[in-house]
Amino acid sequence: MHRRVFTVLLIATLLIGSVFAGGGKESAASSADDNKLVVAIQTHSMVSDYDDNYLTKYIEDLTGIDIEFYELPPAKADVRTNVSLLAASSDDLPDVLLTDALTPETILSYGESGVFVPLDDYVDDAELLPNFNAIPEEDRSVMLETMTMANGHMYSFVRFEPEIWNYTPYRTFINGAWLDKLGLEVPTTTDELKEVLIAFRDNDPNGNGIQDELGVYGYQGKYGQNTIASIMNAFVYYNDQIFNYGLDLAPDGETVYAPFTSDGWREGLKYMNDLYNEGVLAPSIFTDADSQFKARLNETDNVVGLVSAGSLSNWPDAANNKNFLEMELIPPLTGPEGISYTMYNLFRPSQIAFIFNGTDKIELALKFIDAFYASDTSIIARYGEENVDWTRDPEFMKTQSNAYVEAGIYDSVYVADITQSWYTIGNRNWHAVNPRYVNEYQVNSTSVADKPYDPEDPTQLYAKNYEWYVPRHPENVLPPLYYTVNEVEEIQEAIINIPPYVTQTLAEFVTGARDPNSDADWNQYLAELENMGLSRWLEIAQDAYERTL
Amino acid sequence: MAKHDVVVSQGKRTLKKRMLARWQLYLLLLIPVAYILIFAYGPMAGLIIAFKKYNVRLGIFDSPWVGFDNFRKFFSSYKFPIIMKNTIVISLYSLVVTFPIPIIFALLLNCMNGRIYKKMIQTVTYIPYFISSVVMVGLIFQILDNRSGIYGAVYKMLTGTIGPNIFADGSLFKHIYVWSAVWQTTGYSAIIYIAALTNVDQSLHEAALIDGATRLQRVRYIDVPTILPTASIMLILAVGNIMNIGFEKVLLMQNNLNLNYSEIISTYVYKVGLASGLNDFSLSTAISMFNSVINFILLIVANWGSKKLSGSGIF
Repeated sequence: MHRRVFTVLLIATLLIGSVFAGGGKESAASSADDNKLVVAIQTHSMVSDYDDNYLTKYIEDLTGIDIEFYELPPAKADVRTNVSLLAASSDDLPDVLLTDALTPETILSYGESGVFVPLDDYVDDAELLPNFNAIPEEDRSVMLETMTMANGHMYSFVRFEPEIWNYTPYRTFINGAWLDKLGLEVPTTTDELKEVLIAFRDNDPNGNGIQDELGVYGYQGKYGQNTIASIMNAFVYYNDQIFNYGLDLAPDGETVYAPFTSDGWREGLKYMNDLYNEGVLAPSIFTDADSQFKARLNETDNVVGLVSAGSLSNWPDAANNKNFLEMELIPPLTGPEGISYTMYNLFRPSQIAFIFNGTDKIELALKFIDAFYASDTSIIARYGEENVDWTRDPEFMKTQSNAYVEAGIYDSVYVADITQSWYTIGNRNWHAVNPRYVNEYQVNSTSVADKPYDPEDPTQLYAKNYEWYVPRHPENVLPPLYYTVNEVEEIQEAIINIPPYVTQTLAEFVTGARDPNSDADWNQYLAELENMGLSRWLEIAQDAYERTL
Repeated sequence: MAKHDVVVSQGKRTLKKRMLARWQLYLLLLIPVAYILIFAYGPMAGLIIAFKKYNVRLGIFDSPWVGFDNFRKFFSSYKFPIIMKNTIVISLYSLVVTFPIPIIFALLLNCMNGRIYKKMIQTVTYIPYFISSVVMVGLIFQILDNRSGIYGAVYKMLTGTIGPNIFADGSLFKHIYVWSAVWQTTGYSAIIYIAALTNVDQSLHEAALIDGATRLQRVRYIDVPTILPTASIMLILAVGNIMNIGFEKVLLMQNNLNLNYSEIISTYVYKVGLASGLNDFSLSTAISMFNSVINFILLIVANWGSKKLSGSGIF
C-alpha cells in the first residue's frame, strides 16, 4: 500500500550497481561552488515545496549555504531502501541525510561500515557547533546519550522535542452523538464497550436506514490509528512495535519479555475475536491504508463508532467537521483484570541528521545542522515566519493561555501560533524532518492566537489527554535498546521475521483464521515464534537493557 | 567434396572482408551486444555475494566467503514452505488462465465480421495493458471496495446490506490477482495470435467452405494449426518465466490478512534485502538466484519437451 513503483527499478539498479561498487569513491559534489550542500531529505506529504520554502530560505540566509535537495520518498520502508542503495553504490553521495526512518541497528551498521561520518570529535567543539554546545547540560546529556551507539561512537544529530501530546498518541474516540441518541453511558470497561457497540450495530444510530455502522475502526498507522493496539492495552501493555519491535518489560519491571506471548495478549485476542464475530469490529482495520481510513472517517453519514487517532488532522478542519464533532474523547478502557494502559511514547530524542562519508564539506554540514539548534530556528522550523505565522510579542502573550498553564505546570505561554501552518499542506516548514532543540517548557507552552483556552472545546484536548492518558502506563517501560553489531547479526532473522509475523497473526486471531480459543492454535503460534529465535532475542535484549541501567 | 571445401575456405578467408564491407551493420550490432554484456552478463558476477557475507565497506570481491550458508538459511526459514507454495500456486494458476484465454479470444475475434468493429474491440481490449501496476492496484481497490466501490454499490442495491470485505479474505487473493491480469493483458497477448491468423491463406478457407466445412471445423482444421507454432513458443517462454510473478502488483496488494497467501519469493527478497533496514543483501541474492535457477531448469525442460512433441523450440 505504501510502496512505490520504482522499487523494482531500484532492485534492478542495485544488482547492476553492486557490481561496480567499490570502485571510484570520489564525491561528485566536490566541484562547483563551495557553499553548495546536497541534503537528502525524507519528504513529507504536508510539505508542498522544498526549494521555495520559508524554512529553506531562512536557513540559507542564516548560514550562507546553498541547499540542494535530494528528495527521498515519505514512507519509511522506501527511505530505508533508498538509503541502502545509496550506501551500496557509494559514489555520488549527498552530503547530509535527514530522516527518522533508520533503526538503531541500521545506523550502527552504516556507522561501522563507514557510510556515515563518526561525529565523536566534533560534538564538543563549541566553535564548529556553537548552538549545540549552548544547549543546557541536562538536556544535552540526554541528546548525547541517544546519539551514542552500542560501539561508543556517534553518527547522528537528534531532534529533541519533549512534547507531552506526542507521548500518548493512541487517543480513543467514541461516537458521542450515537451514545446520546440511544441514551447510553460512555463505556469505561471492555465489557461495557461490547454492549455499546452491539447497540450501535442494531439501532441504526446514523439514521440512514442501512446497517452500515462500522463499530470499531482504525488502520495500521503508526500515530495512534491502530485501534486494535488501543484495545489490546486494556489486557496487556503493548507498544504496537513503536519501540524495540514490540518487546517490553514484564510486569516485574525488570525482565525483558514479549507481550505478544502473554496470557493477557491471548485474552485480548479472544475479546476482539468476539467483537469481530458480533460484527462490530471491522476487518478493514487490517486492510485499509491511510487514504481509505480518512475517507471512512469523513463519510457523509458518519459510520464510525469507535476509533483511536493521535491527530485531529484525520478529520480535516476538525473544529467545523460534523463527523469529528460527533466523536468524543474517552479515557483508556479498563479490561477484565483491571488493566487500563495506553501506549506510552517514552520520550527519546530522534536520530535524524547524518553526514555521509566521502563528503569534503564536513564543516559546512556541521554548520547547517547546528543552525537548527538556535532557539529562533527552533520556533521557525515548526511555526514559520515571526509575526506572520507566530508571535512572542510580550503584550500579546499576556492574553494567552493553554491547558498546562491553567493547570499550573508552566507560568506563561512561550509562543502563540497565528496561522497554524503546521496543520495545512504548505511550504513553511519541513515537517519536523530536521534537527531541533526545544525544552519541555518551550514545546508545551504554546497557544493558538485566535482561539482562547477552553477545556470544553472538542479540539482542545491537551488537558483531558494529560489527565486521562499520560499517567496510564506501567512504571517501567523499555527504553529503545541499542544492540552491538555482533548481537544484531545473531538476532537479525528474529528482527526481520517476528514483528511482521506478530502483526499478521494478530489479524488472523482476531478475524478467526486462527482460533484464539483453541489451545492447539495458540501453542502452534508460540512454537513458531520460538522457531524464529524469540528466546535468544530476549536474552540479548536483556543484556542490552542491562547495559542502559 | 572438393567443391565444398573450397566454399568453406573461401568463407573463412572472406569473413573478415565481409565484415569490413558491412562495418556499419556491425557497428550498429555493437550497441545491443554491449548493452547485454553490461546489463545482463556483467551483473551475473554479482551473484557471488550469494555465497558471501556481503559487507558494504568491503565490497563484492573482498567480503568473506560463507559457502552455502545463505541458501541453508533460506531453506530452513519458516517462510520457505509458505512462499514456495504461494509462488507456485499463483504462477501456475496465472499460466493456466492467462495462456489459453488470449488464444481463444484471438480465434473468436478472427471469426467476426466487420472490419471496423473488430479493430475497435481489439483496441479497447489492449488499452488496459498500458495502465501501470500502481494505478491498476488503485483501480482494483476502488472497484472492489465493499462500501464505496462498484462491487459495494451493486451488493447494496441487490441485498440492502453492506457486502463482505473482499480484501480481508486471503484465499481470494489469487483470484483477484489472476483475473485482474486477464482483464489487463488479454488484448495485448492476443495481438501476436491475431497477426498469425491474418497470415492464413484465404484460399484454404474458400476451399473448406466449398467442401462444406462448418465454421467450427474451419477453426479447428485451419486456424488452430496455423497458430500452434506461435503458441508453443509462447508457452515455452511463459514456462521459463513461471517463477517471476509481477512483483509490484503483489507487493501493492498485500495486507496483513492475505500475507499467508500473497507472500512470494520476490516480495520476500525485497523485504529481507531492502525494506527491513537490516540489508541482508547476501540472503536476498541467494533467494533470487534460487528462483532464477528454477526458472532456467524449467525453460530447458519446456524447450526439450516442445522439441520432442512438435519439433519446434527456441534453441
